[in-house]
Amino acid sequence: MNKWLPPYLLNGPALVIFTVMLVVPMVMTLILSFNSFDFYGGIQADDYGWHNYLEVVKDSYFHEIFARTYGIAVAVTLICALIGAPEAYILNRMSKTWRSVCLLAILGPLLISVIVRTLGWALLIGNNGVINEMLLGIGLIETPLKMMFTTGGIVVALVHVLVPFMVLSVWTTLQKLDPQVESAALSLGASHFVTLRRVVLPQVMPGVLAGSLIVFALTASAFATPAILGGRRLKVVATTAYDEYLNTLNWPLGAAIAVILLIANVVVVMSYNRYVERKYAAVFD
Amino acid sequence: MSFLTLQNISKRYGQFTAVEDFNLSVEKGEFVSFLGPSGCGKTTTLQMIAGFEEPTMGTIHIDGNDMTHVSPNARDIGIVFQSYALFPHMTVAENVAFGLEMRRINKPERHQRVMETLELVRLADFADRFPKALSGGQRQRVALARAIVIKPQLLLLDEPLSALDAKIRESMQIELRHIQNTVGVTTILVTHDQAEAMAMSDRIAVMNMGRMARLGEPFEIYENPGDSFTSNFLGSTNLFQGKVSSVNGNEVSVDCSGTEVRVQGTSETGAAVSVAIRPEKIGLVEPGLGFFDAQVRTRIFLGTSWAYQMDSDLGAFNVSLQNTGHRAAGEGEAVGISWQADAVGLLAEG
Repeated sequence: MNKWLPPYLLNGPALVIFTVMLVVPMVMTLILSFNSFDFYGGIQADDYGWHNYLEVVKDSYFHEIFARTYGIAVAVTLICALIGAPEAYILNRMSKTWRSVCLLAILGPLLISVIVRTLGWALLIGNNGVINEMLLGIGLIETPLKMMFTTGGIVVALVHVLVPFMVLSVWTTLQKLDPQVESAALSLGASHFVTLRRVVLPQVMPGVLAGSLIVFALTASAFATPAILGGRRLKVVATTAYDEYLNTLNWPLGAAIAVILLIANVVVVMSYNRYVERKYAAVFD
Repeated sequence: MSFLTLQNISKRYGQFTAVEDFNLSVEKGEFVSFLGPSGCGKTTTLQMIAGFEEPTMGTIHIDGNDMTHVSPNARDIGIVFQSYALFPHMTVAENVAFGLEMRRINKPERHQRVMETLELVRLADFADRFPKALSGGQRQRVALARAIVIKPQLLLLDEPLSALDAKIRESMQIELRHIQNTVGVTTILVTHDQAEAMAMSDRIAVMNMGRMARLGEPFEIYENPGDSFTSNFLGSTNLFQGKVSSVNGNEVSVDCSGTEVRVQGTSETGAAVSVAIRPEKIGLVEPGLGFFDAQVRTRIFLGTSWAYQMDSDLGAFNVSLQNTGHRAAGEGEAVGISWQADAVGLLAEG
């Protein structure tokens, strides 16, 4: 038997699944995005062109949606870094028992279905939600604060879900940190704060950047949380594509939006990754 | 008062006592080693001097100031860590400059002192490299440069050479001692390697189970170890157990399994003692002419010396003979054992 055959045969099942589940739908979506659409006639089978893309690129309605999506992604990434990195540092210095308890609390959101978790946030931040009722009750505010259907609400809920990825990513780099390095900085006269800023932080930066990548990519393509907390009017790219498919029934336009989102995400993630690798290649193994 | 004084230092972790009633005075410019097996408390003692651990009891004075509860970043101590603990994201020059930056020394002076120190450790050409691109010995020298560039009152070396291989270790010992002499900084070295301690130190503090077992100059404590732990830890020693049969002034006769061995020292008749003799101090003579006869069990040639294992009525023991260019007694041969009268020591049992 040919010695190259067995590896291919062994990879066969996975290859078939990937082809059927990923490659075929992707290619079909790509083809669909070039089809034209007519409100009365539906998808025009043999009429291909760039008009769906041109519509997205020209229409300020879509500009706003893309701007909002990436604005949310940047905000969520920054907040996750600001919360997640210190959280990981504290976690790393905890005793074993407390660390497991806190780790469970941090990873908790990942164990709950995204829908249930988001509805939980809706209960909290809705106009008749727990927070507003409480603030009204103690007389701090007179009319309910608008938190539901705002970008702020979406950002808070997404940070809640995605911060574990940042914590885990930073924690991994922290574990590679030589504990004597901090002692060395102290012995050279650095304060605890300077040690953190000049010695610990630069060394965990690769972890923060890797975590940012995950959080950014997941936020930019997030669907369920923006769909529930943003409602029908406060749209992000993923929910817009969904609406084009299922409400307007304009599949080609929805496909074009989805393809643009995919390309934009790939470009951002890859250039960011290349930047990080180039920056740290000389320093870390 | 001495430059560095440790008074009645003890450290306990719950029920466990890491260091017990440790006293030491170190003069300015002196090089003192803490020598002992792992877990003897030597590193804990160093950590207390550095300020990373607080003593449960006792005080630490540096240059007359009570430093017992001063935080590590205010102690002005240079430390070379076992793992070197270099800052991986900084170049060699930046690593060395860090301590000077913390002391707010201006840039031109900083640069000058960094280059001078790198010159001293022969790494001036590597100033712009990252630690990742250096060999173990080079990293070690960067760590040393970083510790001495701040002109610390005290230099602490925590097993600084243990990660290096044997050849580099030996040359680093000489270099380290040379640099310490040049800079003149008071230095404490922690090591489990007796050869390293003897090669580098003015004085050695031998530690065992959290206590100081012996303190003195290397030659002095090698020759007069005082107890069997020290004598075994510093080099190797043959111990012959026996009973004192008679005491005659300064000379003690010990009955070791029927053979009488005369030792200088004081003891009482009937006391259980050990007679200690180092392998290199035993001489071989014709059978019957020595104190007793033995048989060569194994003989190993080591280049500069021959290592023998002997069997005798007193038990097995080791002999080390310098290689003088002649063939020495072979395996299975019977030989006579002799030594200089002052080569044997008397150790109390127990």
